[in-house]
Amino acid sequence: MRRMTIAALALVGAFVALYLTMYKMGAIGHLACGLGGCERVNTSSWSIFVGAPVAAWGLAFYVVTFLVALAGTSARYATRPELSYLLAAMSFV
Amino acid sequence: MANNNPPRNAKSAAAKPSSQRSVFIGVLIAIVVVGGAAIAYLMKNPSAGEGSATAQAAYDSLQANYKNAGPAKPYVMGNPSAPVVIEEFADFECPVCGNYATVTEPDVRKQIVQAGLAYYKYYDFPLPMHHNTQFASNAAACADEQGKFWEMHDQLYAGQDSWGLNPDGETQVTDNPKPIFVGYANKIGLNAAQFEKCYDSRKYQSRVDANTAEGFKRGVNQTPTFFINGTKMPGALPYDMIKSAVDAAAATAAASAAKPPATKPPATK
Repeated sequence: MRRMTIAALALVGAFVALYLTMYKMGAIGHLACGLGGCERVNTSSWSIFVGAPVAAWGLAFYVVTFLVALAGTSARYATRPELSYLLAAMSFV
Repeated sequence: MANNNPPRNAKSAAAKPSSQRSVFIGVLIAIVVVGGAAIAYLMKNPSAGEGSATAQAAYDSLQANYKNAGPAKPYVMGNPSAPVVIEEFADFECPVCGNYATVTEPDVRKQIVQAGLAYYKYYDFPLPMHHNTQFASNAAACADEQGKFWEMHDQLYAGQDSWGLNPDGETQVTDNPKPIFVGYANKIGLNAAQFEKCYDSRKYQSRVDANTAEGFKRGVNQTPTFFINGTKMPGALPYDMIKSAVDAAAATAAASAAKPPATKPPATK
């Protein structure tokens, strides 16, 4: 159940990161955010990390988390603790 | 007596994970459908989103205002025959532009422009929500009249906190930035009387407008936006990204400039 929750939340996170990545790449004209300042953040020099947009790194991380958590929900890995250890380790990244 | 029959609730216990999995798959499908639809909608309607509809309307109406602007006249730096041209569209009041101008641009000037790798062009692109930015562009144009555009450019960006946006990102520090700009003019050694006369007359507003119109023509929708040998690169780019783009553009330019060698038979002795 926990792995299912992690997978679902990671999938939501992946879509948010995809949205931010597409804005950074120019596919979406404006960011929609209530408090303002998102565009300033996303166009600042801090929005690039090791040559790629931070949002793209986030997208990759969420996709990997989703896939690991999803694998953990299958019958084959349901009782294997390794995936839980991996997810816990990923939370430190 | 041994009871080999499964417990009465075994069936429901076995069914629980299965129904849980069905719900899980349903949730995942719902997330994909809702997320995919939202992104598709935002791509189709780029102005969708809180507050941005107004910004888009302002952008559109602003663009219409510049239809009859004359040819752009950017401010330039470096060797015009350098293999690469870096063009920057920026707003003097934009904090991100200020961040680029004060942190990254000194390196770009020293390592790229002064090294002869690229020719630099600066275009005004004053955004409608920044109330003092047009004044700043005029101040910079008046400094250019006396040959000190870049000095004024640096003063304006370094001093944004004194005349631009408050930390809330919405309101202005002052409604009258002129005394501050005159202070900059004195500091960089301009003829202050000539500067003030120029500033008050807004005689270079048409130049600012023409530079802005050029940005609209090229689809600029955020500041700063760079074009490196024509390739659009929005955002306050870090130095490394600019340098690698310049190197790549120089390599491409060199490759296309080099004519294929005429086929000659190898020289024989």
